[in-house]
Amino acid sequence: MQPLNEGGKEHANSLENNLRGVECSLGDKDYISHLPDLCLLQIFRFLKKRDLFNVMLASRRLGSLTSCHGLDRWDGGILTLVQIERGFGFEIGIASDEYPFNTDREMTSYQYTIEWNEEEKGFVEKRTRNGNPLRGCGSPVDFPIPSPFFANLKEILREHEARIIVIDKFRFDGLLFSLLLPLFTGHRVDRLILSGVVSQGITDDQRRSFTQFINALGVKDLNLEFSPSLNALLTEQFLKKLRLTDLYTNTNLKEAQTHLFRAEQSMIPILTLYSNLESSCVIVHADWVITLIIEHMKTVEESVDCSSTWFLALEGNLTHFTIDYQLRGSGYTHQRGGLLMSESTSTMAVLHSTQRDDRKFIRVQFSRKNPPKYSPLW
Amino acid sequence: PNVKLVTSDNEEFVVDFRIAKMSVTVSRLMEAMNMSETDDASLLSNSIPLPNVTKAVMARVIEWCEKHKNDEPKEEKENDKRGRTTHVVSDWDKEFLKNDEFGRLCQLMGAANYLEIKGLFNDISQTIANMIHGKKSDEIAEMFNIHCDLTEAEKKEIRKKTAWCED
Repeated sequence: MQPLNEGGKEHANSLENNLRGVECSLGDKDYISHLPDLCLLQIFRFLKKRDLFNVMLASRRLGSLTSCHGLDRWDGGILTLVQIERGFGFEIGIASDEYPFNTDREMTSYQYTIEWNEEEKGFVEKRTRNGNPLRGCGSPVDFPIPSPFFANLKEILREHEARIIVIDKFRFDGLLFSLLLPLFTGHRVDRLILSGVVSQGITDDQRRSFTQFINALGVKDLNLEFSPSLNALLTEQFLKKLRLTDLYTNTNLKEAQTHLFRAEQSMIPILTLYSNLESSCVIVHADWVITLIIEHMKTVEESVDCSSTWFLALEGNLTHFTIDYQLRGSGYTHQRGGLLMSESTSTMAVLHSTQRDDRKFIRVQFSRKNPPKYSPLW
Repeated sequence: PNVKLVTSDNEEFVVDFRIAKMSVTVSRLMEAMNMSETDDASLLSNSIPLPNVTKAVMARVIEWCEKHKNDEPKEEKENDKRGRTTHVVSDWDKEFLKNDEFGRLCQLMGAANYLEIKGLFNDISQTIANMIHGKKSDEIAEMFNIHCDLTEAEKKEIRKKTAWCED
């Protein structure tokens, strides 16, 4: 088999070299169990979850240390919280440990549901491993989330890390996020996806507890694409308080009409921080949108990967005159095909404007001027 | 300027001030004893007692420090992108640690921990972790001569808890 590319091969070699370690003679005494806790913990920090489980079975002393907080994590889990027909459930899926010698393991998943059983007049819990994926159900449930749901979720999150959270079909309320927040202590969640989540109008309190949840978990990427009623979350305060790099909201025009957020020019420093910002309900003005784009290009100049997209609603007329006016003195030029770039930097942006149902939108595609060249396979 | 270090078995090591400073513990002790690089008298009249380190281990620690005394103070990244600790053991360090029996390696680790020499501490941690990686529990126990004190019932309980980690 041909290696994919030389660079990959080199990487694998150096990795293997680093992992080969030291073969020293082991003697006949149990030295390792006599190491101080701090030493053992440091060794365990370099181990994968699966190795830790094996250590756990080796002896009581070693095992007791492997369950220390900070070690007992399985990386990169995808956690889905679902409202089902007569109750609630969650599912955590964990991809293979990313250890180089063990990359083709399948995803393992664990499901938990708690449902109201009319015949038994009580809640029935069910736990499965690698069971069918949970399917959300949109019809509202007329009781609050039972506490065993949170207790079980807490248990699983103690053992396994959630890197992505999907919340499916829940009703949006602040209490949910306040209850969830303490369960995620120590977790770093990259993405939060709210899908089919419905709100009957958002209050400031709800917005506050949601913001707190996002920031405490360290979420960088928030996706509200399939929850159009959550467009109402977007306010100046909300965007100012969040520390996101990617935000997606519903871009279906009809749905997005219900809530519009008109950004002031003073929002430029906040908006430039977004790599991806796709929302048809955020309106920017033609008089300063180019300034905004240039500011963003300046911030991504240093980053390796700057290919990203903005999609925003536009107010006012974007003409050659308004573009040139905003470009003056910036060093950037505007070229045919909506191309925006400067001599001195390596980032460029391509602008497209579209008009649908009397509304104007602007799509901006950021990319490297000279994308890295890929060497041929042979 | 030189600093005198005295081990548990009363051996005196005279080392360069820079080497002594590589240990956070020694550094702190020198400060407490008002020893400074510019004050030769303070260095001559004092010696640092290290009751937790033997002569043999100290010699190895100093050998490691000699090699690393000119290292750039690097900001050790606690976690990689996936939140897992990473540390690269240099080829010289691998060769250096190879010569130790496991018992000595553990003593060296104990010393690195007590003296707070982070680079050496991480080198040894990574080395031992590499020995553990990929081995089954009985292989780990056998390799390190660990007497497993868990009952079958306890093992079963642990296996049940960790079931979805196994193949």
